[in-house]
Amino acid sequence: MATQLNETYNDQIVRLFLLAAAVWGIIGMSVGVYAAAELAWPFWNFDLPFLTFSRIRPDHTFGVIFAFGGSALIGTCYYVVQRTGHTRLAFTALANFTFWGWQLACVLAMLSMPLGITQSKEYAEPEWPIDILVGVVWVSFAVVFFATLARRRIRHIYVANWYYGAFIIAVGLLHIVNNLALPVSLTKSYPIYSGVTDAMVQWWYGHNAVAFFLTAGFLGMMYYFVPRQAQQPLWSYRFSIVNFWALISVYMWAGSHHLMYTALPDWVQSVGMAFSLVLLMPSWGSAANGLMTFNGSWHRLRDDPAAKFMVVSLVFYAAATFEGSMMAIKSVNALSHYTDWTIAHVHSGSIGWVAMITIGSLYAMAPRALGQPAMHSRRAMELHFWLHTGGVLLYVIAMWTAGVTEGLMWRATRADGSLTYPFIDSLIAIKPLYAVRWFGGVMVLSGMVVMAWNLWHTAAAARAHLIRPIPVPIPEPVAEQVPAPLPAYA
Amino acid sequence: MSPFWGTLAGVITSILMLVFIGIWIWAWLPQHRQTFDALAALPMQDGDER
Repeated sequence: MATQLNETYNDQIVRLFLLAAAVWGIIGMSVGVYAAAELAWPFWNFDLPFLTFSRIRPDHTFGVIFAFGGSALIGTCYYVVQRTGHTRLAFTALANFTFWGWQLACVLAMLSMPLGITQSKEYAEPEWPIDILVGVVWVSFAVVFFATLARRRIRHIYVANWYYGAFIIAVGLLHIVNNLALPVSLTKSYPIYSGVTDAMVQWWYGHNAVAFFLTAGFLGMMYYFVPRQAQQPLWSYRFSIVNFWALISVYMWAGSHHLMYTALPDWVQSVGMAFSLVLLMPSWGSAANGLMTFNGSWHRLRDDPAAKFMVVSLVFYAAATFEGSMMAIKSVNALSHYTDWTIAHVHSGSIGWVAMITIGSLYAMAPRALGQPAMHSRRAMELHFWLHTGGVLLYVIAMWTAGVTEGLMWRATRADGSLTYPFIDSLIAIKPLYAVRWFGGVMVLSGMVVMAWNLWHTAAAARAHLIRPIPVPIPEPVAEQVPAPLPAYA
Repeated sequence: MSPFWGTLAGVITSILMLVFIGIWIWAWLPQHRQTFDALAALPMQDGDER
């Protein structure tokens, strides 16, 4: 075994994705804050086509989901698969390609959408050349991940990798099926589906982007970084297995709840509603598993802001999944659909659950990846936590209030059946709430700037090339290990 | 829809439910306890800075 002692973890690629996540987080959320300002004060679009809400809104969603979230997911995935397999990442050059390819795709998407180049499919706006690039990068990502898993030195595959694996396979499948289109020029294509079939394929994709990008991937993060930060074993490993299979088999069928009371056949809507309700069980199962892991370790919340981020993210995960199941019930959906309640729900899921588990995990991972004992400033982490938590609460409370107000005003009728309120009345009623939402967004964005400052200082030694790669701990060989351990790199 | 499809859907649903219960039983088998305990502690083994 002496020849294997030189093998080190590839943390260079992890550092690149960490930097990308910090930068894209600020860009994506800045665009979001600007879009929120336009809704409250429409003069901000200056009558410029590329600044209108309709064009920068997909820039915001793509920027935060795929550029920020995607960079954080791929970076943590590369970190976790190495640590839980006690092996170096496979194919260094291909891993570097996934970084530069992903960044190029994000830049092209973010630049083309304000110019009006779009497929007009929610969360799948970029046109076909970018889709092909994303497809190639994604397959490369899958090759790097699964090849690393294949050369692991720990026989059983840790549960976080199951989630990352499901995330990679499902997102590849969704991306390709939903983006099948006939190009008519470099910047324009038509989907091969039409009518309600197109709508169903789009929302099969759209909801499973939530399921496998924004849930399965981030659960992979959660299942590794929560026990690591709590310094406690995962509360129930066997429960995590049951929740994994329940989550991935149920989520695929829930997409039609986005198309309630549309031309979609009624039974398909009912299938989506039923599966959305069942989905509550594996969602709460994972949230409970994460929270229970902190049992015996709650004192860490006093002085560890990363742990605070994780605990609050799990509470938001439980709250947002409960809310989502309720909103999929047809009679609740009749009130909530097309209102800002949907915006409240998606942001309690994305800024509450997804962003907070990401930030907690980045704070947990960054010092190790940057060769430091801890983050540069714990007080800055503390400040970030309170800015973020205050911001997300302001945001979702404003949007819940706005959503219910809209829903009730839109459905109110007089005795003769005519509408009680003209549409403009509902806009006037929610205008102050749009200002509150904007301010909540400003707080969340300020927190991201604080994090970027903190990461920059933590990375000082890494920038000066003063840190050394971390050797892979080679465990005692297991007699029946399958596959056999691979020889080390120089 | 002909009754055949309804029956097929019922059979598939039943099979999937049995598979799910099977996964649950498998996960709770006592012989996995040692492995699962070791795996549950795996994330804590990252580095020596703590």
